[in-house]
Amino acid sequence: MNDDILQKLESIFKLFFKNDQIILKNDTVADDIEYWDSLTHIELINTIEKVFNITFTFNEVMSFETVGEMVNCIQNHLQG
Amino acid sequence: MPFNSIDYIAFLMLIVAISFLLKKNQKNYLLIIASCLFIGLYHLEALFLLFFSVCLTYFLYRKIENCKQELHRKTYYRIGILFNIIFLLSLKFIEKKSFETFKTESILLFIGISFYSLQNIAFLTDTYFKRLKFTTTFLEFSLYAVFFPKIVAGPIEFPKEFIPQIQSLNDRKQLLIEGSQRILLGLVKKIVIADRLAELVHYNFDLETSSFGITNLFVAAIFTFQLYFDFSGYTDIAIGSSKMLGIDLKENFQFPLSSKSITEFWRKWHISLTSWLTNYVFYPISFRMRKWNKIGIVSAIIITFLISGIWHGFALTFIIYALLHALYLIIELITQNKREKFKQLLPNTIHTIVSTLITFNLVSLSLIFFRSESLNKALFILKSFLDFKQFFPPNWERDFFAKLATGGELDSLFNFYVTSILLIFMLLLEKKIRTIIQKNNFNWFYFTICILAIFMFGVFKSRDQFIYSQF
Repeated sequence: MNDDILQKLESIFKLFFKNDQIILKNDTVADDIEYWDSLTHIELINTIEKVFNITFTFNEVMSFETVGEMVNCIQNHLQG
Repeated sequence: MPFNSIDYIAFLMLIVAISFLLKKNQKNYLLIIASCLFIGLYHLEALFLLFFSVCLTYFLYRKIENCKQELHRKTYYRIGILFNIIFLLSLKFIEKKSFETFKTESILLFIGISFYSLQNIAFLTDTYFKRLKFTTTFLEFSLYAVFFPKIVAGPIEFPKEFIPQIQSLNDRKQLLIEGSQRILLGLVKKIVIADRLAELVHYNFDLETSSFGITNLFVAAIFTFQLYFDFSGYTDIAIGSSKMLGIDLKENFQFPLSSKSITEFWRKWHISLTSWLTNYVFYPISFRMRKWNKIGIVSAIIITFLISGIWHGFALTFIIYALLHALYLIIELITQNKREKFKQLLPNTIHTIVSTLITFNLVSLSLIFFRSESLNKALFILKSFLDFKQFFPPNWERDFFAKLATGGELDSLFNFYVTSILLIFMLLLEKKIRTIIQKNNFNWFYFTICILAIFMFGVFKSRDQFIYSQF
């Protein structure tokens, strides 16, 4: 399940940052991806919420330090 | 006790020496006593004011942490935030009034109230949202709030980065060399570069502002360099002092003047304030407004920079300075795709040079408002850029070189050339020097050059305060 979410996230990232070269891993952080900064972060979160049809809490968003943590959080939401 | 004084260096050496004689669990007591001495010896009133604020904030922290009912937790949190905001704003207001009416130095300048209050807000917010995985004692919180190397002008520390360090404070003798070499770099930046530039910036901004555009363009650029070397020099001394006591402070500058965009500039300039504003203002607002897409982001940028402007002071010039940066960022956000295409068209070197120059000049332009004593003065300078008939002076020696060379002790053209050469040297070598310092080997050559530079080219007469200690 985690791998599926990671793959789906990767395609969202590629589309969002208009960059087909992006490869996501669990330990990927914002610094690894060009243009992933504070200005684009919330818009990206909004896109992820729409695609997975979930709603993050603010505290969850603030706790993401790696893509892996984001994946786990999405999984928790999907499992309800 | 300014950082660029013999008093401070002697005070720091004494505290470092004593800290090595103490046991691990006694070090925090020494640091809190040293911090109280640092503040109290010069402004006893400020010490009492801070003591009251620390006690109240800690009391509210305990309430938020121990309270079971969410409604009560929220109430204590809101009281804490409100108290710290009112504390900050009212002291800033009193400070402004005391300047306007009595023209005396306010005691509040000294205690870096703006930096201190933001840390308290971060502490209460992280506690309320349960982001801190540890409990903090009164002593640890007090030290987080008033630790002397960062009390005057930051860096603004986050609780989860600072408090765990003082909870397990060890002797780190290996950091003594790195710390002392970093202090030396800060002193060179302040005394040899920033204070030399200060004289000509003061003359041109405050005394006789030129009506020629090219002269003002250079003065604005020179102020950008002065502010950078002054503030980053202060930060180097703060980081170096703290390292010698075994605590790592946040880096505040990562060579921002070579930024290729304003977005990059804010990732590298006054990093601790940018991080604070991002985490505690920009993210909460933009998250709430995320369904509005770009409009939500743009609104959050404007509100964040507006708060940043007010934080610098109750003056229209600071607000315009901040809003100009909001405008720059919004334009960059909207034109990101077009700029990316433009980047592909140009050779890499040309693109780097052009974008660095544009970014630098946009920053300099905004800093005209930051530095001008009034809005009229800033507008007068801006008008000189647009008056093409008066852009270049007929007599370059009198209206350009002499203007830049004049001011205080630096009244000869020779001194201006010396300052320019020192500035260019520092701009080119700063990154290299930072690498040498981080190697943590005692470098005799570096030490000798720094000491020589300070005594040969330093400005000692004015003993200027650091610019950001005014906020």
